[in-house]
Amino acid sequence: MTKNFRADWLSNVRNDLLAGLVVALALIPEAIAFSIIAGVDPKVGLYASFCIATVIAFTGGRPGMISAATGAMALVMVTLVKDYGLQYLLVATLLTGVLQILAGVLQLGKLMRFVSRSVITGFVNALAILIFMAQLPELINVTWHVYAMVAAGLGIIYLLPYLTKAIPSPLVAIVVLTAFSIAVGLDIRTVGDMGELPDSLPVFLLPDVPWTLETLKIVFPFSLTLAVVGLLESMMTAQIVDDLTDTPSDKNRECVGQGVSNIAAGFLGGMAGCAMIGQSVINVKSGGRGRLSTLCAGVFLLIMVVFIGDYVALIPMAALVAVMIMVSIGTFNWASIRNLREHPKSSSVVMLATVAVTVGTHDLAQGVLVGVLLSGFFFANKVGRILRVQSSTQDEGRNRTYVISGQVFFASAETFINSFDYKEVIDEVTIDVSRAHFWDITAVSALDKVVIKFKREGTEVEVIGMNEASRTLVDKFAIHDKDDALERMAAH
Amino acid sequence: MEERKITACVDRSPYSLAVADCASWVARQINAPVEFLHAIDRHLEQGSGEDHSGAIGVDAQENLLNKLLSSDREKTKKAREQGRIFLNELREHALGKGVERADSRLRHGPLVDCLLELQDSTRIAVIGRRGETAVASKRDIGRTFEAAVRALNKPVLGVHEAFKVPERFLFAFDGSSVSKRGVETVLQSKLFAGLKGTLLMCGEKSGSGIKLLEEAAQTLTESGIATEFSHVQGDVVTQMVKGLEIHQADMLVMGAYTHSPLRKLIFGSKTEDMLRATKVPALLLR
Repeated sequence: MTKNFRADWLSNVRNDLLAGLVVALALIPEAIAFSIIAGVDPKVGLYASFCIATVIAFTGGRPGMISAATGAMALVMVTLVKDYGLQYLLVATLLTGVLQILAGVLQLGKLMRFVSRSVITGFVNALAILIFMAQLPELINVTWHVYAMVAAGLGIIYLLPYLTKAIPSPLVAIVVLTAFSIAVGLDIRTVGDMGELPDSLPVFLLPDVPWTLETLKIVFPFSLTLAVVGLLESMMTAQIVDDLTDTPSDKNRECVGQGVSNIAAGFLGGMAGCAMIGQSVINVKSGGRGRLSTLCAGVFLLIMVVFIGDYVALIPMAALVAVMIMVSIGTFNWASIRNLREHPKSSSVVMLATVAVTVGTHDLAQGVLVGVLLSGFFFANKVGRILRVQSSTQDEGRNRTYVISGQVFFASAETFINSFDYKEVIDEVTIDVSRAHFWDITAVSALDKVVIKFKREGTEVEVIGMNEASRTLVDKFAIHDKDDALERMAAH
Repeated sequence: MEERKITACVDRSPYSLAVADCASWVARQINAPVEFLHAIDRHLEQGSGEDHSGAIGVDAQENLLNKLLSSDREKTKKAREQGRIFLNELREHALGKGVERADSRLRHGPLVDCLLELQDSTRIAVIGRRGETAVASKRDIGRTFEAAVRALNKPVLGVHEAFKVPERFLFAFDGSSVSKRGVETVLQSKLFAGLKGTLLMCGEKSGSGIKLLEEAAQTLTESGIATEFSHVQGDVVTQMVKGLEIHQADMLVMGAYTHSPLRKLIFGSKTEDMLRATKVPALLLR
């Protein structure tokens, strides 16, 4: 335990502190921007970011990953906030936490293996597109000053690192643009116009709602979606950080940790959040590895917001938009566009469908659901093609033996039935299925159909090897009990 | 089964030569092969903090992965070649000391993890009481050393900067089960052949304690290891250090880290105090 404590917290102190600071600076504009997406005051997102980052530092399963208020989650809550208001959002946040803890305890993190690479890419791309689209209201029907500001912001963000990598360029962009707009006296929208900013430390609050079944009915669908989206993005981000740092993480602990931090956020007046892909990449890039980096990000964020809150209100929205465009560019998987031509069509379709459904519904959960279902269909279709039927006559033309090898299940049952020549005039048919796998009830009933069809024509039918073929019907294979089970399956 | 070896853990610190000398002595005594183990730890828990720009552009993730990958690869490649040469020198050093079979093994990961994975083929581990990082941090007893002793269920021989072939050992005897098993170990091991010893017990005088002590000393003497015994009162560490001087012993045998790390944090550790106060090789039994 002490060994882990030291490794998680104290083995990288200097880099963790600095990386945490860089992340905190980048978190402020994001938290404000995501609050605006959700339709709540910036302080809701800022409190949430502080609270989630601080709590997940202790409870999470992936050291070095950054969690806070996120765009993916903000998009889900829009309708809830619009129809019922902030208090219901806080209740939904609490319930989201409970559901996520439940998911962690039930070890649902394992289900992530059904989410294919193409779906993940689609998720990430859809997220980037949605973050970008959320900036459009700030860019439509505005004066040319705003475009110039955004362009200047992006210029600073991407060009400054060529000069120095010691200071965060998004911060410089914000400071320079704010100073410029105040100095010149530009009449453009600022963060202060978007709602209330925090002026004190967050306090413990019970959401002000009637605690009735009615309330539960309202928030439950939102909480369920929030829980799913939050866990999906967190698991994906954890995987990304695992790959970047070449270290493992505890996915179930992460699920529970996300739940605990969301509950904490709900009680402190914050919105639900989850892991952030962009921020986690920034953290690792800045040298952050341990839990300390996440904790620092949260604590620094609060300190800065509470003490320099007055100045935060002066930041022009154009500067935030520039930062958010950077996040969206950094999150988008550009390689996936190049890969469209090389990858199999089915993968590309899955990826594009995930993006399309998500962007259309503004709901990442639905996008992922469609992606997962599609990849399931494509897989079943592919495997269904692994079915071969060979036949030859025996006994001077009185008997025909069909030898079936391959996979027989719902997707290939039709092909299976059509592989027999029912119009052949013959005394007897032998169907040898000992080298086939019957995966489900559809396969068995398909064989029944074949037998009946032959019988109608007055042909005697004998099925051999049914025991071997239907061994795969059982839901749980006793592979652990019989060491040769795998070989036997492969052999026939 | 593979013959179990003496695992000599070495890193690029001044202790490595002492570890090699000590392992060579053990190898000659118990006639077992030596394997020099050097772990290349990439320190995955540490980040490199040059880029605080906080900007993420096109293919940010891919670029970062490639950057981290190539820097890790670079480092490991360098460490691998250096490690190989370094291990080979120690192996030849041991062969020169009259060891018949000496081999080397270079592994990835923290030393303690490597040791644990090799535990089944290890008979005894020889480790420097401090290593590379402890020398830099001026820590008396290296963290890796403690972690290794705690993690392994094999005897560990902790050596100091210079190794001299021991002639006389001092056994810190307290009548506990660890102590009794320790006597068994000494009996069965050829390591102590030709050595003389002293069993030293420290604490309140009690009839049963003295009796145990006497019996143990007798058993050892009967089996050819001439052993005296003595009982003293006072602070264990002070008495043991004094005992080493009085009995002119140049090796220490004792049970180690019997308490949890948490207790150590509050009360300190006798084992550590003893190791800190002495400079002779110490055989730690768990």
